Amino acid sequence: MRVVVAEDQIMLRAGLVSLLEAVGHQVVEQVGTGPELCRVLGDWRADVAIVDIRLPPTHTDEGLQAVLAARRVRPALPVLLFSQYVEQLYVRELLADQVGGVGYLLKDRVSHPRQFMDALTQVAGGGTVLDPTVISALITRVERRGPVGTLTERERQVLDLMAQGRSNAAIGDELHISESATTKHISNVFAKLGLHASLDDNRRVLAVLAYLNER
Amino acid sequence: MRGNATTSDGGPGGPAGRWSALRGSLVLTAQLVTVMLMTVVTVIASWLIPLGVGVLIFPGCVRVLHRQAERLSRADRRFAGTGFAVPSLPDPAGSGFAAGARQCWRLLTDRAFWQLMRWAVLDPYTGVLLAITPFGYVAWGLYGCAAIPVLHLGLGLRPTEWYAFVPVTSTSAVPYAVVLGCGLVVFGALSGPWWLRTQARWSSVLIGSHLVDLQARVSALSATREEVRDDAAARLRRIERDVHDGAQAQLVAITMKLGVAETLVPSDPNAALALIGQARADSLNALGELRDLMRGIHPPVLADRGLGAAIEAMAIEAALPTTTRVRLPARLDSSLESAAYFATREVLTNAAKHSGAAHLAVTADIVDGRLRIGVRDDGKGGAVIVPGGGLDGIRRRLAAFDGALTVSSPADGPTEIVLEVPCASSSQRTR
Repeated sequence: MRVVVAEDQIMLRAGLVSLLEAVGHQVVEQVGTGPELCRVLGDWRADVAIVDIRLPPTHTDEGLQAVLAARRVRPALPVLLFSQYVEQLYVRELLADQVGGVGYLLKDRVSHPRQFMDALTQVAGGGTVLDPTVISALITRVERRGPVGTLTERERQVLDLMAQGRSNAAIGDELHISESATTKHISNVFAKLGLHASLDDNRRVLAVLAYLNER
Repeated sequence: MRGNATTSDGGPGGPAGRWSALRGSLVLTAQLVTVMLMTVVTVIASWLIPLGVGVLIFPGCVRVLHRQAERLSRADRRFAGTGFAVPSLPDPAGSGFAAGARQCWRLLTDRAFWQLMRWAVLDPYTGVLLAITPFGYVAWGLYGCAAIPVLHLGLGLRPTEWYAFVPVTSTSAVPYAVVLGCGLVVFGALSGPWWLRTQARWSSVLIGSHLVDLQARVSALSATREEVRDDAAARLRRIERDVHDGAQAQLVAITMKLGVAETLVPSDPNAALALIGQARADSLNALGELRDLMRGIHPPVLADRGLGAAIEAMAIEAALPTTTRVRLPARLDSSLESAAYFATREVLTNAAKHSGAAHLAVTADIVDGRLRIGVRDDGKGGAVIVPGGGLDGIRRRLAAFDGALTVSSPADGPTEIVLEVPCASSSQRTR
């Protein structure tokens, strides 16, 4: 894949680039500031972008703003945002268009290169990938706020992995359970949340997130 | 200890119309004459101090004079729309001769006492002249436009040769006197509030109101500065402890595990691999703790987008369903943003914990140069500010920004807690 990397911390950027090149991806652009990122996103010639939310010159949410603006012009432009923190407000803004092709992970996740690369592939393919902390924060809040069918530990794990964009087979592998067991857990999750399970992988994630966000 | 100083804020309402100015003219004049008499008595009492009698009566006289000053200030606020701050005197020392002597000494060496005496000696003269003027004009005017015609035309008397510059020796001149008299009545009535205001301001200058205000400001600033200092120190200690017990300890553990893993590699590669895996998990934990810590110091959304967005983010993550109505400029002063953010968060947490509410509503806007954040819940009500409690802590921290916290919480709710902080460039800080 051809990848754009927007990150101002030199060490992290170099690490990311070597990681990407080690698994055979091609880094076509490396940028370190908001305006440069805007230029690259406006003149899109890659398959996916990895963008740090906080970039110079303001060191606020330059990266996020650039991505939101670019996705308004070019919907579903595949971008994986990563940051030192995840904010529910930003999750809402990223998911508002409901078209997928977007990811939001903590920088910590780079420590598991394989999962990070899986996430990148999902996003490039139009999927939605969210950091597990987002899902657990959303579920905690929903459970605190009202009487929803309480999810079992296993169902929560399945939901976490589903939100990370994994397929049923990948979820089964991760949890060491059969694919049919996985399917059963997923349909339980959907039943407890009162959602229709007959959606494709990406749309079901969006449905769950939309549901959790609205509560 | 001193009592609270009366502040010189203009009371609500202000002068109540032209005609009340005439009544005010008489009331204030009477009050100023009373001041004059009390001053004479007080001065005589001070002469009697060497004879011993004065020791017993002088402190009482001063107290009565002080009370009269406050009464005049209240009357000024009512009739002139602006009062003046009366300096606080030392509290009474008790009864008996010794206590009286001590009190005399304390009074005579107290700056506030001399401020009071300066005012008491001088203000009756200047003040009476200013206060009586509107009444004088109206009275003199009435004499010209009513009494002269009646006396001249009705009774055929000639009480005077001149009315101001009008020679009223003949009947033909009477209309001029009437016109002039009417003019004086109108002038007296129209200018009344101005004379009274001038009198009130002059009283304020003589008694040194600005000094009283400055003193009140200085003590408020000293108190809040102490709060801020203690608060900052406590916060630094907490951060130090969190880093020490959390991330730092975990980094030590990681280093140890990696060290052990290094020695295990030749003999037991599998055990070494397991340790490296643990070290990685530990490092993720440490990162998580650092992240929580940073969020407690300066939340990311607040840094990125300012107070308005941060309040909305707070509502999204709140324990209770929370609606927001935020009308704020993009950015405010950053220390103010931070203080308002943490105060609001504490109020929200409090409400979620104690109110028993099902919904919260947060409003934020700027009214008259003051940032105003209201948090309303539909809970059981009955919230009060308990000294040393959560709300009291918030109130004290806001005081460093000249802010205030008010609670309206009838039994059975709803509860509304309002935080207000001045945020215009003309902040009181530089008053």
